[in-house]
Amino acid sequence: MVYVIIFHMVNGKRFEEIKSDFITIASHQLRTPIAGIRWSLDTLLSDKAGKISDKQREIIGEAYQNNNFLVKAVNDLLRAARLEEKGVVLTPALVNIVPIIKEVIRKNKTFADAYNCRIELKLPTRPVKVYADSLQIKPVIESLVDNAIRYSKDKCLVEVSLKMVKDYLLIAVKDSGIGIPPSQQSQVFTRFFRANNAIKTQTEGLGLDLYINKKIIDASGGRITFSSIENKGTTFYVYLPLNSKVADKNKISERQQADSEAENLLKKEREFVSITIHELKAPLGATKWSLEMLRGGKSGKLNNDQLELVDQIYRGNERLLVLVRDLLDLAKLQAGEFDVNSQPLELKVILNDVVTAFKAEAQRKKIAVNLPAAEKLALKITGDSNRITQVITNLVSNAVKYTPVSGQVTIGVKKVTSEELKKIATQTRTANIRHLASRKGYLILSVKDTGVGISDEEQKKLFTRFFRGKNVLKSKTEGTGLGLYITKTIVNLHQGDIWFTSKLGKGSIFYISLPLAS
Amino acid sequence: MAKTKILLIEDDKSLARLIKGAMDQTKFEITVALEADEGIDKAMMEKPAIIILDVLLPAKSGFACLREIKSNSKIKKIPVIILSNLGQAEEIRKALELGAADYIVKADFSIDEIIKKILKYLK
Repeated sequence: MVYVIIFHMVNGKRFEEIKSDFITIASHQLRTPIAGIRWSLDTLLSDKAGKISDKQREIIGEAYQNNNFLVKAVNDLLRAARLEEKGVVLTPALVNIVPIIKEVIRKNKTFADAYNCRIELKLPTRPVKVYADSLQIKPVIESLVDNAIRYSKDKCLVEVSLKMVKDYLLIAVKDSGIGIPPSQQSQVFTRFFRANNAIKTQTEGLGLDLYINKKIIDASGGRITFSSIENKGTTFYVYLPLNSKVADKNKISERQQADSEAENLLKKEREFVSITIHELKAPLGATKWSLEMLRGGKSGKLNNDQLELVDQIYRGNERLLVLVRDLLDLAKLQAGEFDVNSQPLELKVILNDVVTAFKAEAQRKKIAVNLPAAEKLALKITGDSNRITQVITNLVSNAVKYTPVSGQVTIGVKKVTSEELKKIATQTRTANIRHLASRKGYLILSVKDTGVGISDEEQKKLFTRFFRGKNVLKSKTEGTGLGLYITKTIVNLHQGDIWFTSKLGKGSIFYISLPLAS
Repeated sequence: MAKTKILLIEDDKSLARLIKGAMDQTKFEITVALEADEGIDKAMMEKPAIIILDVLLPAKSGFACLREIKSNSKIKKIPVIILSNLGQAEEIRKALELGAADYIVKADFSIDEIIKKILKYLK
């Protein structure tokens, strides 16, 4: 589990009153653009920014579905990560379950309508109290109803009914959907389970929610089961204890649970990373296409308000792409799976690529990006071309981002011996240079900006994860706060170092040293 | 008829604009505050019918803001709905303990659903 591996590194750190462990930050970072995209799509669909054509509605509807998937994916990831990190932490009490179920149905109404689906509710007339943690039970019911709709056919009926069975309340969620193939029914509650027939329907899913649901219900002293007939439908049965005595009697001991899963967990860690990559990237890519189609104008012309909303969605989507990429890099780094494919590289080629990529952005801000003279660039280093490009891109990107309009970004290169590098290390307060062993000497690449500079306090934390100016949790726009951390790690993996000098209000210079190939 | 006053304490201007745009301007007067202190000042001045409060704000967190609202006799009766992208059980519990009327995770709801929830507390 990506989030768990990383979590240990930041465990215990708190900003103010808000817990800022990796999971909290990552989910907040992901949800912020997701919410912005969702609300902008809502506004477009509502015709409030101007009437849209049927074709446009269809394209926006697709983007909406992708967004819907992202919401669910982030929620599932979060729940799964929390669960594996802390186990199930419950605060049970006697609660009336009826309003909770009603709210879940209300929340799923829009989604059900989109699938032409009717939800029928069969409730007892009087309040039904169960002994459970309502905040944890609600997402369980939510995901069961959501699945019932998601895996149903058009014009479906989902029935949610409540019934007393001895010491328990039985909540049944019945659908008339695709069902679960008999051969796979034994695996339904395992992590990442996705039935063959579900994969074929192209319904996206992470296969995490039933796994989580079972854990929560088990820990609540309840039970979750199902019956299913392929192509006819599935019913999930959730039994919740009516009082604390029943709940305590049935709880599976933590120890028992831990033993059975330790092995399973190890096996799945790698898999988790690749599943996440695939599952989050695909809907983001698809949304990008949808937006480009809308912008292209073939589905109808957009007015200025609509264009602004589409641009806003586009920026949010781009931010999510960067964030997902950074989070995955981080996960790979933590798992020791970060590949560095070393080969001789020509600095000139890489720098030209990077500068070309920022041309438009620099022009927009009227920032001059200066490159050293061509003859100075005839240097060869050894490294992974993609990764070194990523490092330099990140430095130039930061420089352009934090430099005000009409500023200057200057890239410099210099060839030094190990001795000279050692001297720099002792002369520069902020340089912690550890790699000095290259016999062929080092390249020092510098990126200088005329930006806002970095305060003394911020300087200390610059290369830590999720750092972004003051408190990352307070700033919601731009950046993931992972860039410099990942940059430093990549440079270190190449036997090089990164450091900087900075003056508040004047600008910063970032330096990287990399061993020369010849 | 006088418009119903709503105070939105949210530092993300584009999200604030989207919420504002989705509400019926003939019935509601929506004031936006970008920081907790500004929000408390505006709450004292305008006496809104409801306060929508984000948690992650620039200087002071929404939780601290909520605590101040609920200990200020002039405004403590105004219902406060938390609207944030944080939303673990512990955060929700904390907000409710501090006196929030409801806790909404932004990404979980469409803009119309959020407005419906807000309207529910105005009845």
